[in-house]
Amino acid sequence: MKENYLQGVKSAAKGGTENFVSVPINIHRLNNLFYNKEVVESAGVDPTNIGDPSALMDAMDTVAQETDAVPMAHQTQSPWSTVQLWETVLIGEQGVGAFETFTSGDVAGVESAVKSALKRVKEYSEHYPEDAGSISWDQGNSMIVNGEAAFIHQGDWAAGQYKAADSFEYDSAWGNVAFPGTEGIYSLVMDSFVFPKNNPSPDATTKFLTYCGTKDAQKRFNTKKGSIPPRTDVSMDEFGPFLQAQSEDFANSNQQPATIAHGTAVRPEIKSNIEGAFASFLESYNVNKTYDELVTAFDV
Amino acid sequence: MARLTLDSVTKRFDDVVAVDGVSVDIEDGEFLVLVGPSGCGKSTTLRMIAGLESISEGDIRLGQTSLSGKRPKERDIAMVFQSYALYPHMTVRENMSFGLEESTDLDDDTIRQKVEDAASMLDIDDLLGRKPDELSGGQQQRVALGRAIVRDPEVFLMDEPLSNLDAKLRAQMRTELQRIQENLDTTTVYVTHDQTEAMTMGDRIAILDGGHLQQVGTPLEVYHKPANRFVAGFIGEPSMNFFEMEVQGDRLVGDDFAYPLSEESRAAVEGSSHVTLGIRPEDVEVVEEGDGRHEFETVVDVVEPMGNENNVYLAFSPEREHSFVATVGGMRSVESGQPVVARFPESAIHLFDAETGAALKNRSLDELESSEPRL
Amino acid sequence: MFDAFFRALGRSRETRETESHSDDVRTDGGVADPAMAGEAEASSSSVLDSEFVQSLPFWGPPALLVGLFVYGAVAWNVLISLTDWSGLGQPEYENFDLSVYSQMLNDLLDPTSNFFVATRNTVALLVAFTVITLLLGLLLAILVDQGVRFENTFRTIYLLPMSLSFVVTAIFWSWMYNPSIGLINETLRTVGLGAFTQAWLSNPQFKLGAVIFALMWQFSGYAMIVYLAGLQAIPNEQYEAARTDGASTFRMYRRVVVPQLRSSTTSAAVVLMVFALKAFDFLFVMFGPNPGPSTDILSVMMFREAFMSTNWAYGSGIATVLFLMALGVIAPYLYRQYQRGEL
Repeated sequence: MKENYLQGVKSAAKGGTENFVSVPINIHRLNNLFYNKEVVESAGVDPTNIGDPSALMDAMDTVAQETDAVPMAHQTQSPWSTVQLWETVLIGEQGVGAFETFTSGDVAGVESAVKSALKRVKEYSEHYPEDAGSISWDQGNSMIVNGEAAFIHQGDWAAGQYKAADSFEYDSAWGNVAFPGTEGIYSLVMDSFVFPKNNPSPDATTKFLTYCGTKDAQKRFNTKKGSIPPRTDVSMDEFGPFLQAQSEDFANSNQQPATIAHGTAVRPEIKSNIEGAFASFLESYNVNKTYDELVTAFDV
Repeated sequence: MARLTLDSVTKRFDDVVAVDGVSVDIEDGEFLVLVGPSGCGKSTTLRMIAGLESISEGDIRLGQTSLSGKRPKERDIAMVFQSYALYPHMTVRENMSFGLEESTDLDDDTIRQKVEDAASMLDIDDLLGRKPDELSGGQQQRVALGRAIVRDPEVFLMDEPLSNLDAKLRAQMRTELQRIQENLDTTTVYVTHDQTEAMTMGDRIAILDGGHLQQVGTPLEVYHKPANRFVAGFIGEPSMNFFEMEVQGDRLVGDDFAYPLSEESRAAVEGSSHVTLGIRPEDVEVVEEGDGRHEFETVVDVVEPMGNENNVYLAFSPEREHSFVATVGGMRSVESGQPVVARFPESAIHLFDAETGAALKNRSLDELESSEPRL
Repeated sequence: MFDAFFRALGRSRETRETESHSDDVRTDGGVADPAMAGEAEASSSSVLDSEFVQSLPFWGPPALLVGLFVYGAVAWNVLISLTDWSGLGQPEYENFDLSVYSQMLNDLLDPTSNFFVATRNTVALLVAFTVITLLLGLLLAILVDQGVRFENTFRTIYLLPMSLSFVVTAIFWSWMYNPSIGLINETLRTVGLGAFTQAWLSNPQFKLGAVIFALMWQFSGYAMIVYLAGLQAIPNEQYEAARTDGASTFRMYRRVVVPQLRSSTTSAAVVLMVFALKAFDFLFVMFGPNPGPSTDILSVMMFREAFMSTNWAYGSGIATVLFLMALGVIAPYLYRQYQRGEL
């Protein structure tokens, strides 16, 4: 079973220890940029051609000039969406190496990268909806469905909403690309079943976890959940075109970093502190102050 | 100066007329008692004078100035409420100062002086620092009076101020109130449903019923010369006895007896076919026997001994339910079931028109004047 | 542990019985004889015992349950705050110290720390919310009490928001505050005050104010009901006496009516302040666990520290601080009740 998982998944399943402590059951991708085809086309923007986060800014400027649509349907009511946007921008601009230096706690070592990504997110904020602070992510996402917004950065769970919408089809009405600058990278948002240490029924746990690791379990679970199986040898026939494409990207990806926003890259306390830093970033958009808070976020 | 005039004052609540065209002149320094059964409009009249109710029609004037449309604070009137309405969160001193602080520009020292003067007049100097809930009912009553007195207003309005006191205290306060009113010589309108208070306190009494003014007069006037049957029945305790009679030539014929009339009385009932004969209990003479024209055989039904006198309920025969009252001396022994003769002296009877209730003949006062020392 | 409590209970009953006995003695003019009083106490104590035992099944179980699950849980929480429990795993009840509290004290000296910010916001919310809600409630109560028709209807209308859960009102108000489609900005734009539209929930200047306003909306009806009851307990003659005493309407309310509402104010304020301390669900639904420095309050921070950062000890410490604040709000009230003999 081990050889059918990619490296990034395997390291996440070890949870920073020597041995495997959990069995991954599903994988969502975080570094997606979804877009409404009609909107980007009317703006004359080709999402597949946006090379990096800076080019995305230009593309959004164009959308703002050419259409009435909101360029980026981002929500700022709670900070987690901005944490994941920022970490994706960081990877898009500086690569997984800088991101992992950051998550290891060496914030000062990547100071300029961190600040540059913060500045980029601050730039993006010009293109958020007017009511970004009052909406939840799915309310933002429905702006894509309704043609009121061009782009949204979100995990691929966002596609579930497109699927549920009437006559909003993949590839014709909406599309997605890896977030600019992150091609070949598959940021993992992964759910796993763990093997707890204090366990009155280890045999039953072993039996269940073994089942979770089977192709059958992963197919049955992920077709419902809208995610892809962590195993690379599960047949994707029943998954639909979008997840098939995701799965293909996953199989071809070279790097599978974890995420801060969804709790796999840092310990809960650090994640909570980072969210706190971003909560105040959303109020002030003060790059230097937020950088300082990100440094102290690791002081635990 | 402070002559208070009610000029055809009318108050309507939606379609109910509570006070209907009441006109009274109250002289400066006069103590007028407004009396009547509950719901007669006496409190409403008082509240219109105070400015707590608007006047639907008519006018109220203080001196030459019309009060209608003026807010209570512009009227220079102080009111004592039945419930006293002391402010529970203020001390007695604060309660008494409040009106002066709100309605005058007096400085604090003057106010303090006035409050202390009023307090010593009412003998409540010791209570100035207390809160109302630390006072007895009588003390609260004095504070309520003090609150009005200290304002030195043109008119005092009192709305049944003694009705929450026990009988003994009430009698005591009645006297004291009269004394204070005489000393201050302030025009006072006093509302009560208690005819004893009305009789004992008022310079004049105004009797209201159903929103209509029935009669205004001195206590003795309304007692002896009631304008109508209502006043006759309302004033006096026990009430006047009434008998429905038919006029037949020179006699009045009722269910139980016939009453021969003198020439003078006959002239009075000229034009009425039915009259009500009224006689006050103390005017009914109870004798052992007799056969005069105005004497009737009766049976004693119930005796109510009052000590100084007995109220004797008499029936024309043991089977009749209808009885009437006679007041006899306390030392006289009368027993239930005993046959007695009741005399209705013609000089003491009142005759009212059966339909309108208006007095046709009131008792003669000749006899009264001769017996005045008895009162 | 409850021994002392039971003893106290028994004692108060005993003294009451002794008193009634000595009253009997006094009525016939005698002075209470200590021997007789002692006898009375001895004779009543057997009665007391049996009464105590007989009533036990009625108050015993609830007392036990409340003791365990409320006061026991409070005590346990304090205990946890004295450990250094954090992360996954079990707390170690060995080395108790006040490090959590000394850290809080340090944080209080640092105006940029989360704890300082959350404490500041909590106090601001507590004070502003309570004062504004009371004032508005008083105003509404006075208006409704002015003999407005349909008084009962108004009462229900104003009280209804309070029966809604914080979750509902938080979502409702986040719609109201929506800068582009929310009713508040729409109304401002309609009446030509478009210049005053704000991103109410994003702009740190208005965030806390917006929360206070929404909470005020929810609770002013409650304050109104409390005041209305207070107003209606004041006899009409008080108003009339004040008016014949020459007071204007404003002065009448200020000097005669409002001072008599002191106990209404106290009881409403206590309830409102406790609700303000518990405003967690409202903020959590509106902003999630990280409302940002302008709106963060202690209860949200407590949740974050305990359940997101797994700093259990520090979270318990914040809980203890909140508990003490609530106690600080209620204690003076209870003390007054006790003094008046209503407890």
